[in-house]
Amino acid sequence: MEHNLEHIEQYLTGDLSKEEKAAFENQMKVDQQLAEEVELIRNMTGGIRLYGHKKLKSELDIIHKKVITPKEKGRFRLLNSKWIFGVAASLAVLLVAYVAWQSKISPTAEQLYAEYHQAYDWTISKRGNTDEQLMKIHQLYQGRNYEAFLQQTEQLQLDISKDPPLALAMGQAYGAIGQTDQARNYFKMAEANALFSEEALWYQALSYLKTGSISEAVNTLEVIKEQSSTSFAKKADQLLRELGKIKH
Amino acid sequence: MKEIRDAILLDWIISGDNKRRDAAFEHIYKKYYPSVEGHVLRNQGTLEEVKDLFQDAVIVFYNQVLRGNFKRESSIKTYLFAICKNLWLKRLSKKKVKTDLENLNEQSDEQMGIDEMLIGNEEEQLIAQLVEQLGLSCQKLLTLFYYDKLSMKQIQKTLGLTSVQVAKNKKLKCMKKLREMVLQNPKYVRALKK
Repeated sequence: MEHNLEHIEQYLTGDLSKEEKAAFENQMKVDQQLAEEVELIRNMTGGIRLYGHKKLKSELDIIHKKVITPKEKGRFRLLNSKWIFGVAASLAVLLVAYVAWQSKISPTAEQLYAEYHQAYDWTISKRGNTDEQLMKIHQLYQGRNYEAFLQQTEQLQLDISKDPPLALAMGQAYGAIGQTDQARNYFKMAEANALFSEEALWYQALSYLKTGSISEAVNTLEVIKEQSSTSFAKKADQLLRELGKIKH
Repeated sequence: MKEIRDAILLDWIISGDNKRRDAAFEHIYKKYYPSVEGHVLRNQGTLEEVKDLFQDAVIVFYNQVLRGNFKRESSIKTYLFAICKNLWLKRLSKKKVKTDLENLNEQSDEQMGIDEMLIGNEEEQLIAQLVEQLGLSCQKLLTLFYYDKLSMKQIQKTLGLTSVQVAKNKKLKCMKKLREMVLQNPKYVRALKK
């Protein structure tokens, strides 16, 4: 970078002394390029901050799923409302839950995702000279240590387009850390290989389901259903029927 | 649930260790989510809106702690509830729903600041998307430095790099890469001209 990044950052974070700040601002007045660079760095750090919010939110989502179970929600309301309303509300919730369970009237996209999604089982052939590095990332994947898996894989600079199972694993890992767009890119990469296309489409459909994009999920599932008669087609057909019950 | 004092939670939050930070968040979640949920549900909110609101409040709280704007002697509960209440008032008025809450139109400058912080401007939103296209190691390093406010020494340790200088070089390299992506993006150039 032409101008000193550290100096600009110190200015932006207010870490310059009064004199240094005044001198820097005077310089900006006469140096248009510097002023533009400062603006650019300000926007970049702002962009990273927004990205950070999004990332943290996806981490909080994981905590949310872990902490807020339906059981806890019910118990909480009972304790905190006036008890009679609490009892009535709980009974109503139970009744609705029972009816929904009985006829599965309208499962939500989230529920269906949870029901149908299983982490992709990435296996590598363990013939004699399997790459040690590959074994290492495989271990991270199996241990569901997805962030480390993605980082290490990235460092290996492999040609993932030539390895559909690895592409599926990458998709699974990105999906798990909340980066759905990236996940879909990898699923699409795997789809290019005829042997893996159905599985890749299946995971794409589920990732649409995860983000609540029902119509995209339906379209993708229909492609699977039309193209084949494998177990994926069966699952796709079943899921399509369930999705028919969701309002969208 | 075992009670953990605010001071300890704050230590975990600023420890620079995301696992400990998340453990603190989990504790905060368990302790305060139900009350916030009750408040929002009683005031015309949905379960999804509670989740969104609470998470945004935790994000605001986290950023204020990192910036030193949260005084150690303050109570996390009071602070968190105040953010939730303010944010919810604002979101409700956006929904244009009449509520039984008081002072609906009273929006402090502080709230405006919160929204700005969470949503950002057009250029920042665009750059946030470009960050997603950076490699994972750059994403991680830049977030640790600019978002989690870790020192270069802490980053070196967290990422297992050989020296602080290596971490610094890597950070510069990542910023250069991002800068290039931004300047090559026609949308960014258009946004600037506005």
